[in-house]
Amino acid sequence: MISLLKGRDTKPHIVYRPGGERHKSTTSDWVPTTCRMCLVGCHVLVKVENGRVVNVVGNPDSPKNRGRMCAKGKSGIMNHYNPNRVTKPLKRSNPEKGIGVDPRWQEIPWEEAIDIIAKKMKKIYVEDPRKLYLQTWGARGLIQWLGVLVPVFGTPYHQESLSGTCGKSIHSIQFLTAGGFWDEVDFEYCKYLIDVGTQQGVATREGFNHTIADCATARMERGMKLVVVDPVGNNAAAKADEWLPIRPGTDAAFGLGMLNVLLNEVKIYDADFLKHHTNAGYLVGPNWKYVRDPATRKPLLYDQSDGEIKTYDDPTLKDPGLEGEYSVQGQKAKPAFDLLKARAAEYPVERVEGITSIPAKTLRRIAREFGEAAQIGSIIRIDGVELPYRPVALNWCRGPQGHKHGWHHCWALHLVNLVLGAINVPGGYQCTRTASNWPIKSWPEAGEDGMLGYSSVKYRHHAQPFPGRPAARPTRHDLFELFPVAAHTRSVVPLVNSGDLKKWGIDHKIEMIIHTPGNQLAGGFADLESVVNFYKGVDLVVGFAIELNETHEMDDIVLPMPTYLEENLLNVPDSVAGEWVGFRQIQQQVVAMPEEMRRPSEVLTEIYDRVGILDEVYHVFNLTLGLKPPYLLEPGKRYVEEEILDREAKSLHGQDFGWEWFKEHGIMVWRRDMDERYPGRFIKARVPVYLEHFVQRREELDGVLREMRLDWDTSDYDPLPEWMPCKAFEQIQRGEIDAIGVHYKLPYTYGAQGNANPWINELCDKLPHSYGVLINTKLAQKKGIKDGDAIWLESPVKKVKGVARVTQMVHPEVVGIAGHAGHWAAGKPLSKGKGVNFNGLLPYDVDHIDLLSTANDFCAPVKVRKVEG
Amino acid sequence: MANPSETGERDPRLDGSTRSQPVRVKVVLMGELKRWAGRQELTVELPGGSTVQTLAKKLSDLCGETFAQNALTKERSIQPHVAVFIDGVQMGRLAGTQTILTGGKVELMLLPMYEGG
Repeated sequence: MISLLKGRDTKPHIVYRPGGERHKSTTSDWVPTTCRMCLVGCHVLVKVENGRVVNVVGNPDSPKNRGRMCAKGKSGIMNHYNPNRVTKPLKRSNPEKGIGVDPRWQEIPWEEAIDIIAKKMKKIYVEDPRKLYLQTWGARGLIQWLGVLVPVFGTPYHQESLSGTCGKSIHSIQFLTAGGFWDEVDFEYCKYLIDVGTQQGVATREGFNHTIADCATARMERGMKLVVVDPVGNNAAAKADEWLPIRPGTDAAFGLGMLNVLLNEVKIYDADFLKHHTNAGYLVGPNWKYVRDPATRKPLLYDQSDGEIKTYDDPTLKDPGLEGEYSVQGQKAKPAFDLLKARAAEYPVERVEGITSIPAKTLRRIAREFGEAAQIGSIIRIDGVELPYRPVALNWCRGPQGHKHGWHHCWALHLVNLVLGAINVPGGYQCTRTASNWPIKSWPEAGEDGMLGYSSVKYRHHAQPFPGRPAARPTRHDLFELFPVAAHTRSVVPLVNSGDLKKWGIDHKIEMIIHTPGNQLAGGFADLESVVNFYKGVDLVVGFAIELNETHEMDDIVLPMPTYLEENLLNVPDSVAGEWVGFRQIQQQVVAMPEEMRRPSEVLTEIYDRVGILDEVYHVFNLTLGLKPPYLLEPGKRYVEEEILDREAKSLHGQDFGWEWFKEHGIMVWRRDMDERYPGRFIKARVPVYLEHFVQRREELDGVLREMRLDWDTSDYDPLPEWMPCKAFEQIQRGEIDAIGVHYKLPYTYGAQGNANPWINELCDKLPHSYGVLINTKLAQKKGIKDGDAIWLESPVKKVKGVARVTQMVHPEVVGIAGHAGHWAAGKPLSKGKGVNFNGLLPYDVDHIDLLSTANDFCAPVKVRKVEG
Repeated sequence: MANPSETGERDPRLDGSTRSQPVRVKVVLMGELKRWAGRQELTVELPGGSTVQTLAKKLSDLCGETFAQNALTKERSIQPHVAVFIDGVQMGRLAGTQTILTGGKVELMLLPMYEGG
């Protein structure tokens, strides 16, 4: 469908719709909307007959999924017609809370539910807004309607993420090195892809449904090589040219080993990119900080063209030196790149083999192949524009970041892309949402020291790792002040709450939680007892629910919410890596909600009015949705959801392109400029290969920790990548445990909510690894375990029973647990008692949290034995 | 009011055509920023041609240490995670921190973050 737009440059385009008559039939309508069965948001067409959904197919108009959809999306029908669905407000009648405790729900009128919630919120608003805690994963509309309480109500606690790992490093590093948010691969031109702890291009991830096809095309038609580095021989490994089973928690060593081969052995790196687009040439003194010009405080570089020392922005700077030692202001200084090379040299492939278990000769070969495939110095002409051509990508995500020292795992891997200049150029690693010219002008901007300081992601502001914040004594339950370069720190909240708040200097109690169906208890944190205690300690827990999951069993009030087939939302303008069109998709109500239900936006409007904040809510919507006269929301009035969406659409796209237009067409598509598609060399800011600001942040943090008498190891604040072992690594080296439990993703399940769906459950039943525990043949033999045997997994915090799936497709020191299984909620009868709840196996303390990013360490130290009898 | 940068009109916030006269800016702080500063509103007088960056340095002096520590960088720039709206327009749609202030209202707030799944 996209090819139909080629050659056009008028904005916006109305795309071709297959079956263009779909809205005219009264008995058989195809309605365009967005799938919400995972975070990706593919566009779909929903077939409705006599008011009931009978089919869902991928929308071919969508650049996001190009007509494809996956099993999760298809199964959305069954979620919608879930017989266990909640359609009326519920109130707990059993004050006791805990795992397996029946809440004894009672149906209550809407008025009673709204009254209880509004009164509590009003009390908190007057006393201290920080007593309200919001969790919003899994419901896009509610992210907006609840998230507005951050500026309006004044609570700092808006936890959008579900998992204790996700977004902890991936978004920070995108912001840091490209100014964007997420990552893909430019499959149209890529020749060599390494997936580390992720399944990019094969299963899961952003853009799932188009990247799979693009990756397959690249593999079949152009011979793109795929190497998968993962403890588990997952779906991606099964499709790869090579699978390198890696010991969990050693990704940084793998990355540093590759860097050593590239920088010190074969000397393949993009010197021009490093000199002019990074801080590789910035001179670093003996204290690990930049050497600065005394007058301007700007960092200095050595210009090889005339032998002069100059500031980074000196217009005469031509050829910054990347190596050597210089005498500057009476001290010895080296370019940052020189220090990076020296650090990499500490990781010869033979040492890396001992850490990762990947053979030295294999690593050396892969690194050399990858470097050669990068074609340093080559250019490509696309639509008349010459761009650097770097057809390689080392993609990393969930695996490396979910560790103690997770930041360093990710940073070491990402630097492989950086030194090759392979970010946001054709063929390389693509950071999405880096730049936009239309319909919203949004580009990254330089901050301090000429470094990229302001990302292009507006309205929803991630705390960014550069320049970070000075550490301070904490005032918040998430200890945000003690993690000065972290993006978000909410994953430590139950941990802090399980101890003495006064120890941390926190002066307020969390009295109320409002959450969405993201299921924090089953899949959000770690050690279940800590998480249960957190919820038990809160006066009023309110949950929006489609079905009653494990977290809802801790609720006091449950409010029914629509399925994705009943929701309305204008998705933000979006793009796909390297794609020549941008697009905006909508989600719209396809079928009517049950009569007794009320729309969450309507319910929250009523609550906000009673709390006395509705006018402020509308004011912030005016700002954040970019509303303009005559479409501004006015104080003293009330608006229904579709009115607001109409105003949002018309404010940005003009009066002819309101909500009704989007309902009719589903998607708006426009042509993108080349600098939007491949912004890498167009950004007017440098990106780091050396994290100089970490040195200052560490000094400040050490001072605060000393005051608080906290004995934290802050060695993670190293400006260079480093491998540091996690507890489980040390335990298995000492023979204290049998295996490291790791979690991996299946392409047909999502988060902690999916398996209760009958079609997904059937898939999991028929594909036995889904609910099983992968155990390597060698370990199984040693333990006398056969395929299908019941086994015990015992971690320091939980002992669980599982079913062994004996295979060679898992590292010998690892047991692999897929998806989010092991449900115990009564409201999920289909998946109840099946599989293992992975998060429950994880220890949860400071020793198991990355002290840079607050990611939980997803290495579960386990002893394994066969269930006897 | 339509955003001039999107209608093609000349925008004084971008080209500094009103650089000579001092400007008075009403600053509104929302959410945690209000708590950190101990105040919700203040009026700031700035030299003509002042930018958001200039305003940030002024706020550093006027809004106290807690505000500066949380909302500003060590170099007294606006922290990237603080959203700035100038007369209702997000500063990223204008000239970012280099947007020239011509009076009117500047609103600063923390917004919900994208966190990942």
